[in-house]
Amino acid sequence: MQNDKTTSELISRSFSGAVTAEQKQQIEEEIAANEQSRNFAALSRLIHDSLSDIGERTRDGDESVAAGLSQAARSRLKSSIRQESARLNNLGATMVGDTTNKPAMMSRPAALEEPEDRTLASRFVLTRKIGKGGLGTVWLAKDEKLQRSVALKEMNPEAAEFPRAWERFQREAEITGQLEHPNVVPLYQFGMDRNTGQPFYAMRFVGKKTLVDAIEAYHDRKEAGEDVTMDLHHLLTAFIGVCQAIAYAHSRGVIHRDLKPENVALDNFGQVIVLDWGLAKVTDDFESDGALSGVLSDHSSAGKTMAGEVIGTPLYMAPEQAAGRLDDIDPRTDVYGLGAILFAMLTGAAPHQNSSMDNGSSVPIPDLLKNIAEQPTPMVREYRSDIPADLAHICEKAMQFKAHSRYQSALDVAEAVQQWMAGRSERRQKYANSRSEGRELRAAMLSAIRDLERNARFMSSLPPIQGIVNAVSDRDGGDDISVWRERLAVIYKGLLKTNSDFSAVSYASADGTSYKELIRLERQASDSSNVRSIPASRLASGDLTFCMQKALEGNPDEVYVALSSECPPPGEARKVGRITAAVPVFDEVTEEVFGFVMIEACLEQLIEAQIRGRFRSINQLYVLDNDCRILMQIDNTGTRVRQNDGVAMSDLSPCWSKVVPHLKGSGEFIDEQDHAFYATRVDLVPGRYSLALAMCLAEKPQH
Amino acid sequence: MENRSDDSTAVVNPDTWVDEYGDYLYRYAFSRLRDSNAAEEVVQETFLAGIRFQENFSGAGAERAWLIGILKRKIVDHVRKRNRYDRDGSFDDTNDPSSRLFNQQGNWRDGTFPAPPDEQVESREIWDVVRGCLEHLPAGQADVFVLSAMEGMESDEICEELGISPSNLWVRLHRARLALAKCVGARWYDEEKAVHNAK
Repeated sequence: MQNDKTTSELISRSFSGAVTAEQKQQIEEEIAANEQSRNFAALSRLIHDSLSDIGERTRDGDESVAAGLSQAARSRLKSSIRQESARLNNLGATMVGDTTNKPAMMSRPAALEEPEDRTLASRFVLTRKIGKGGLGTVWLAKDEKLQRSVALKEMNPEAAEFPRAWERFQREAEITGQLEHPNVVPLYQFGMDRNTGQPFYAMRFVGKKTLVDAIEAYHDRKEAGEDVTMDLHHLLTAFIGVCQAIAYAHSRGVIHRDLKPENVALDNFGQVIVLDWGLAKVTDDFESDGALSGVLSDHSSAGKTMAGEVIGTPLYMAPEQAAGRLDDIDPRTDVYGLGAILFAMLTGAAPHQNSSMDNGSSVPIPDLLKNIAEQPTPMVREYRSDIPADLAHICEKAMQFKAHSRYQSALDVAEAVQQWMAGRSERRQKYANSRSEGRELRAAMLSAIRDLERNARFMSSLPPIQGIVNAVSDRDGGDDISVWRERLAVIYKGLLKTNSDFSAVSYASADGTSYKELIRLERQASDSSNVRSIPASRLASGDLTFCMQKALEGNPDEVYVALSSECPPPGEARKVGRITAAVPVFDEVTEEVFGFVMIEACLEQLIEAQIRGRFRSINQLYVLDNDCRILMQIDNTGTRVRQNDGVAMSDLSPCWSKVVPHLKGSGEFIDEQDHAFYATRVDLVPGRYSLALAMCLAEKPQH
Repeated sequence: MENRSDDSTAVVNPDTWVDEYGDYLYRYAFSRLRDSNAAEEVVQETFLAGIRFQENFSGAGAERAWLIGILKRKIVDHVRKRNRYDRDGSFDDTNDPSSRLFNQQGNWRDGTFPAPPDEQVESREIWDVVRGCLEHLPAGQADVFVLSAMEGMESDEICEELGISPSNLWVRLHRARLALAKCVGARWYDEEKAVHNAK
């Protein structure tokens, strides 16, 4: 409903906004009809016009408008100008060249491109172009005055037409010049080319190599299977330098806003330099002494040049930046950028690279920005699975979608990476230790098995063995079988007494399908010191097991070693825990196979004997069968853990699946990525995978 | 090396700045900021920035224009800073003159505005009255009104510079206009009366 209030609003709008012809008509009618509205409109017009007139007159220098400076103010101003000039002169040729010799000039050899006639002798001679961006071109140049190479950034002529570009270019120089940090490129001089009228600034020449090159080299070498441990170390060291530069900038109220590997230069001496502060924002609230606030009229120009625009490289951009939410940009936007650089280091790809391509064609920038602003942040592990888990975690935390979930400062990121690096070298050392412990254990087990074989061979070559063959075969001239058995029992008893990990030794005859024990000595389960001979009436017989068959197929002195789990007696459940070594016995007269001698050893005791006092760096030791089921687990105190017996390793640790191919292949798994696992295979019979040892450094065998 | 005879194009001489441009810049700043201390401060900032970045300066004849360019930025910066804590303040009802001007039906209360002077009045005279009235306005309203009417800044420009929304700006401007019209009308009337009585 139209009333005076809405009329007043329309009148008001007619001064600072467009009103339609219809509204104009409406205003005129109201003014004609209503004296108050008429007076309001007339007064507003009077006020508006007088202000506008005063504005113009002060611009033109009309002295009647207001009084000038007081004498006191005049001398205050003069004194501050003198002080500032003196201060800058003391600084030498940094931001400002000496006043007697300016403007600073540059010239390029006539033969170079853009062959304008720049003939004036000058301070900087352009040598060659290093790079070109939208705003400026960077040249390698020679500073004739100081005889040194510099990098010189010159505003592009096409950009110079836009006042915003001018402003941005100057801001970049101002910000760079104000940031004095070993990891920020030092600015030597800001000036203007007299011929072209375009601004430029000279800074230290840091070479052409950037983090992009280092990342590519790292990934090339990694793909080629070379040892890249040091490469990663160098990259991360450089990364910490970037974090520190950014942390310093934040302390000065500057947010970089365009962090990406291209903007990090690496010189040949390991120096890391953050470049390109052209999109930096100076935070509005930052006004401490000596900070940038005085010199830079930031927010305004940031607002002016950038409101509604999206600034920065989309491929590395934080969601709030992609969404154009300028108010939300704060140091944590750079924390995201740091995470994005780490992402590129780890994966070799920019974080938003996948979203930038769709079926081989590039996604339009607005769509890409929308994706970045709305979709979940990419995860390093989606790009590559071989990244150390805790390093991936640092990257993911820095790149959290919500700024409050990220690291809260660039220094926090640096610290996290530093800790990881320190922890990694410690872990590497620990891992190297446990790897050698694992190899030792494997060697010790193999030698124990060779012992077992040797003993089995020896037990099959004793005189009573053939005596029994003869007795069983009823050949003349031999003693009675019981005599031979007694003699053999004495020897076998001695064997078990001296080898505490042997649980039984037996001698059996065999025909094609069945066996019959002739003598058996075994250790009593409840009292391991008690070794007894099984009475003839209790001796076992039955169908041949797989292991027995394998032994009988062998040649004389050929020992077949197997896990009892590999050859359960027919009809019996799979039993774990024993290693058997069986050797065939031949009848010396007929040279036919007669039977076999078998030693059974307790796996648990055998291993416990080997690891005693040997392990310091291992958290958990697993002994696995060839199906990778847990036969034994021993924890870091040397205690036997039984709760996981029979459990498949893959159920215990999701990452086990990547270990198995290594065990089946080379026989050894070395965890270069996380240093969490070591696994090696123990072949009871060479070439046949029967046992594996897995060692886990972490509390739990999982990530 | 530098050809010194060619220096004439871009020499600046800060030592002469205060005498040559001090008053000019100060008047400009004072008219916008209406506060002599603030005006002096931004003039000083302008000079210091000019010294630091004198190499930007390109032509001898344009020294004044160059400095005024810097000054404009400094004025806007100053306005932003002094309004920083008042961003939403202008939305307060206490700053809304409407209740004084309109009745419950939204129509003018009687005798709100006297008729403005008929004859041509010097801007300078109006300006003196307006300046007095601006002092009674919340800074957030007065400043946007000055930037808009005197500095000729566009609405979107003001919004971006001060970080306020278009609707907030609009409300501020409208309230400023209402309050100023009321105040200027009343004062003008009083002054006229005083002049009349004196005669």
